[in-house]
Amino acid sequence: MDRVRHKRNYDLHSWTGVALGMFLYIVCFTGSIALFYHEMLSWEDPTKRIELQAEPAAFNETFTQWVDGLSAEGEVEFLNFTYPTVYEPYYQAYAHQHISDDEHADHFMRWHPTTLEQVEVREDGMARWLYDFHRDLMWPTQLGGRTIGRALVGVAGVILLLSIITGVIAHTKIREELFSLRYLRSVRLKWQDTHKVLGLWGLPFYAMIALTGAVLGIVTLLAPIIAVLAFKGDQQALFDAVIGQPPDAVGVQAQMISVDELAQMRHPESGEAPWYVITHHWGDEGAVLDVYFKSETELKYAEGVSVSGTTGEFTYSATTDTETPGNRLTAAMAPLHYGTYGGIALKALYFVLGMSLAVITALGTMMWIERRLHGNEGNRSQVFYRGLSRLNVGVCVGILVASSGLFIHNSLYVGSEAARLAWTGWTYFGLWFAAIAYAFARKDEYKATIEMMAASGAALIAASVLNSVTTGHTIWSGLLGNGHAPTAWVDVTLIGLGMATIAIAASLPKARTEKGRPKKAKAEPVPAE
Amino acid sequence: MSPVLIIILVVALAGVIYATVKAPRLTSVLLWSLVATTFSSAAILLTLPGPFSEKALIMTVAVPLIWAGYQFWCYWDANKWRVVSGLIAISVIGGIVVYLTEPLV
Repeated sequence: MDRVRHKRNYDLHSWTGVALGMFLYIVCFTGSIALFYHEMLSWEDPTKRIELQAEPAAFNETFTQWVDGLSAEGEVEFLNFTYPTVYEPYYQAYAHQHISDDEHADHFMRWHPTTLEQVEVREDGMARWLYDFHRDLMWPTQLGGRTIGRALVGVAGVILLLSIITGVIAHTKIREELFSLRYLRSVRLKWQDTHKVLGLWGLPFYAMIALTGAVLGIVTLLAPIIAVLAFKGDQQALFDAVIGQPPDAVGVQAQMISVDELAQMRHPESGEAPWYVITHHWGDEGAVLDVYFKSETELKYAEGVSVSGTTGEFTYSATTDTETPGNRLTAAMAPLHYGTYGGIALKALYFVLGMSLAVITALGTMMWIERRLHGNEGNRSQVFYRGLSRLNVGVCVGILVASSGLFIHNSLYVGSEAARLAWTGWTYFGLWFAAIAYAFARKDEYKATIEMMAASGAALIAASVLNSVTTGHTIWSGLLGNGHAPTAWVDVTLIGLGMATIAIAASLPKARTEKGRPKKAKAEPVPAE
Repeated sequence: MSPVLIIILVVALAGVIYATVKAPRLTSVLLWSLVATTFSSAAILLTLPGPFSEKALIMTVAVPLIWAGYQFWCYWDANKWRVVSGLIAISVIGGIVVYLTEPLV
């Protein structure tokens, strides 16, 4: 490759990294946490700590009474229900009710797996925030809503893809760089080697996560545009053309198959028990039930079969039975992105690789600033680059402070359930902005990083202790099988991560040890292109 | 169309033209690559043979790659004017194909 082209490619790599480095860092960091959404759900909500029963109580009568009660008040347009699982060890159901043209209602219920008593539904909080902040940045409705946020995260995936392509091309000595870690040389070399080694070894994972993330985000941006161009703006027509139309109702009332009988059904290939059921026209002779199982034989979130709502016999459905290369390809995107196709060990691997990607993006920005603060590059003042360096520390370490703080906030929150998510958001941003302000006020990025990391580590350990104190569920009881094991494992992880964060903070240099080259008095103006 | 909207559109258009002349690669990577991706993807979707749903699903995965590919081309090509004119040409051709193809509903 000629030198000019190499320089342009390198400029593009730097430009994507610097202009969007902090944003990419936020997406990668929050994504690593979002992997454990279900585990965090169990941890944050004590009502979910019910031991999973091998033989839960018969549910059909309770369920049908509930549906009949809703149907008497208005048409139930959408109905689904879930069988008890490890993370959600109770029956639950959701119904969307059409009361009048102007009035609709959503009903969400949980029942204890043995007593069938109603289980309190706690409002969304920490887990939802950490999960959705990765998916759509919790983008406010006033600014266009979650669709905009999701598209922005998708754009981050495209930029990451571009950054990976240009990064690989920029490195002409890949084989040497794979094994080159000069930890005893200058700070910049240490960062540079870490950036390259992590980037090259994790390349297949990063490329996969960038593409799947881009697809999951871009689809929200793409669907309306395609609808405008190909379907005269009719998005529903687009969805019908791609996903297929649901079955029609017959209009004759009929007795539905018992949901307990349905629970005995097994997936024809994997032998798995049903996980959740989406109903079409419940109570109608033409009712169809899409029964979903944990995916064991295919790379998709859940494997589905469709059965008749009255007899339970298998029936064809466009939703569950259309298996084409396109279907398989798109269905694989979410499991690949969130690592749901393996066990907890795979998620742990995803977490390490995801965090390493966050570190790579942070190091990229740090190197860019370092070359301007202590090298001869750049044409802006030292004050500007110093400010940028502090902002980078505030954003990157601050999100760790904010995320750790949410675990404590969850245990100490005493406000109304309706306001839980809003307060979670205020706490998150409050801590994050406080961390950014601290990074500026401390006037020393090294010390600010160490102190904030140590504080985050302490917060993670404290969160685990607080959880035991406020709920009465100790780690030991969970691990010994007397409580809810996933919660205990989250506590163990929090303590482990807290100790690791403190250890990393303790091992970081307290100050810059070597002196950089003196900054030249006035830089040459850089042409725009 | 209201006069205010016309003024906003004219100012936006002038801004895009100015940015394109002043920094063709940067404007291409930020804007023209997205426009070209949108129109070329829609044109491919409407013109390629096969069931629409299958094409739409495969295009969902292909679009980020097409977009990143166009962005990469912006800095790979030695001639910055070839980049911007190429992307605009792809957008125009894609737009014409979409305009001339029968809508699906």
